[in-house]
Amino acid sequence: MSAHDDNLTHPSEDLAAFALGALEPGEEAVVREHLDGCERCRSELRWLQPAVDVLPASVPQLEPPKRLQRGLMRTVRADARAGRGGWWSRRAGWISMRARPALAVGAVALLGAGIAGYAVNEANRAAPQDAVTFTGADSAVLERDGDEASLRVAGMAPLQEGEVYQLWYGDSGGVEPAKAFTVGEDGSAETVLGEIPPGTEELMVTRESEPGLPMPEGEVLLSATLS
Amino acid sequence: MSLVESKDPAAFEAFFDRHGGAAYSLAHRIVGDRTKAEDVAQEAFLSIWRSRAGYDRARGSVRAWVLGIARNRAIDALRRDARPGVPQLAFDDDAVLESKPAQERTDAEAVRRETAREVRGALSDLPNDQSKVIELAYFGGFSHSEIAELLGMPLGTVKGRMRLGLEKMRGRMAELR
Repeated sequence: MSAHDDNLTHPSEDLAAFALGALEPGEEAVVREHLDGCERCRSELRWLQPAVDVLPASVPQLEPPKRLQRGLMRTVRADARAGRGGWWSRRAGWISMRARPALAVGAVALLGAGIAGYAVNEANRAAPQDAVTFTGADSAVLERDGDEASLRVAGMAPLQEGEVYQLWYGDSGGVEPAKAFTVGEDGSAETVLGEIPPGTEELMVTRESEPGLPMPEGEVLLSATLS
Repeated sequence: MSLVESKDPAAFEAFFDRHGGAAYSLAHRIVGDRTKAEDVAQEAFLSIWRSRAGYDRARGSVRAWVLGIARNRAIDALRRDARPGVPQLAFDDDAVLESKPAQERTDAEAVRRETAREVRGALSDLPNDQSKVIELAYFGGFSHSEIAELLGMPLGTVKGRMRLGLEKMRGRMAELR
């Protein structure tokens, strides 16, 4: 007799919540395990699922900003050129030298508001999660959770219309634009960086007149050394 | 899709052209902010590009798969932010559409808008108590337990309303075909 004999309980009432992604993690695991062995419930789910799949079509369809595609494809092409290892090292050298004196400090607080730097010890990089604030300031933090990194800042100066703060990844070979972000009225922001390319030695933030610049034009306001 | 899986950037760009707008739109609906929606869409597509394991043809269309990833990332982003005590589900779709530049209103967009109207119609035809639990779950990222607490109703009632609502949506979809 099967473990999912009809005499046993089928989680029919949970299937809609499962399809909607609304079960608690533990409950979801139970249903998933049941589905593995129960064709009756799989069939019910297959019938319900299209009603969930169509929900995104109910939202207004917006044109994504061009910079989204440009930024995404820049990363994709770089990945493709060199695999996932070392693409960043092919960048045209630049920073070097313009910003390195400041970078050597590890972190620089500017704008008079306590912008901090970040440092992530290589030994910590494999840890599932870490959050390192550099030089004791806590108004800017780089957080990493596995391969995902995010940046939280506070106390940044307000931007003029069209301006952005631009994060850059740097190494001895040059600099690569990473992420542009803006800040709220309170000068704070949180932005997801995704995975920081292995080998990145420095992070820098500049204030730029527009997003999407291939190289920094503004002054380095914030920097950190990844050691 | 096979070219995307083979890590062909040109194929991936075509893939983004095809699904990027829908993913960005869904993310915007969930996080309610263009910059955050941009972050979510970028994360979602980079994870697709960088992941070898992913699309399983047995589990639905490529579009549903992409949008599922975008939805999960958007819900994660939502949870990173302080969640308000009372969920804000009101969303002025027409205001968002009307704010777009006229040149963006292409024929293809007209088709998408028509589809959106049909699905919104199906949702709005549901009794409010059913559409509300579905929207709280899918667009709000709330679990059924959280919804029960928010709405002050038994968990079984929430589950039942989700089920009834999806069944009616399913029936309406069959009628539209």
